Amino acid sequence: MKRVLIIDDSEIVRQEVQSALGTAGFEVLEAADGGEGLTKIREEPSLAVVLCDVHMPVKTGLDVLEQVRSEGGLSAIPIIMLTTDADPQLMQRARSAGASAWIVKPFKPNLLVSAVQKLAGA
Amino acid sequence: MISDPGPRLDWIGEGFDPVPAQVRDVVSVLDELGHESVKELFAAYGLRIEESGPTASQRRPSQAPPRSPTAAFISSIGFSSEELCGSILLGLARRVADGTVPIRGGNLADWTSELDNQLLGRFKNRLVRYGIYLEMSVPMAITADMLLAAPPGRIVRHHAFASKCGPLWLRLDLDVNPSLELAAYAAGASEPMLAEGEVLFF
Repeated sequence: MKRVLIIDDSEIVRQEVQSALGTAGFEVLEAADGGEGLTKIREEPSLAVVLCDVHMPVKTGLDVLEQVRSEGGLSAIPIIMLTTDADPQLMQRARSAGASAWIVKPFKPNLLVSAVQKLAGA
Repeated sequence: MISDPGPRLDWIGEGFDPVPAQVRDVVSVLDELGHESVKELFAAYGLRIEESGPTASQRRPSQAPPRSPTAAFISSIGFSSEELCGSILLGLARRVADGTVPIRGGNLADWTSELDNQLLGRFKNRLVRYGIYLEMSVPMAITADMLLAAPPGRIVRHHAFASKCGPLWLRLDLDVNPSLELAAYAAGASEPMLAEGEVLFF
């Protein structure tokens, strides 16, 4: 079973992602802020995909993205930014830093699952 | 019949009213963007809302702001840019939070914060079209019986809404640089943005 990590400070959003991806056959791990998310990525380098909010406590999603991309063993993990924000400047920063995709909340479960399946090679 | 209507919440204080003349037009646009954003947000979750009281701009200074007698969940989130800073406060009757939460039995305080976060996201995305780029903080959920007066010099706009699930409230606290002119950027207002739920692959 492929594992996906959702990093979001909203418990409800984590539960929504858990529900959508769990039904599609993924094992979903959770982290409630950027710092915890970064720790889990380092502990689980075989993650198929990471879904990451942008505006979070401890470390922002872009901080997490840039840190992960700077660490050799983790740099290939696909990272989807999942956020309320459609700021083109932030999207460009994420693209330059190596994000795989950007989704504006509220997400559509079927499109989220399709995106994760595509990036996970499922 | 609601057995637990939640705490009583009164809005206290109007803040800086009347709005200083040099920022009145900008505040009017911001107020409208906030109003549009909250209606669109709840529409996305299947809840139609309608303004249930006079807006701040329609009230006489001596009139009390809308009262929120059954607010149970309140969230506030801050924003800032070079020209504009402030916060967006969202208050929900318990039934509104319960009627929109996507996970049955989910944490309603957390959900109120997420809605506030999504509300600011919509507000921010609208301002991008005017060339304004806001930095967002993280939301803070509270329960309260009373909100204190706005700080002196802060502009406050209130909206009260009704829905089939009950009432909800929006409060915008604004600190606007007098040099800000939103209309100057309106030419780009029709530029397409990434729609909610769409996936943009890089």
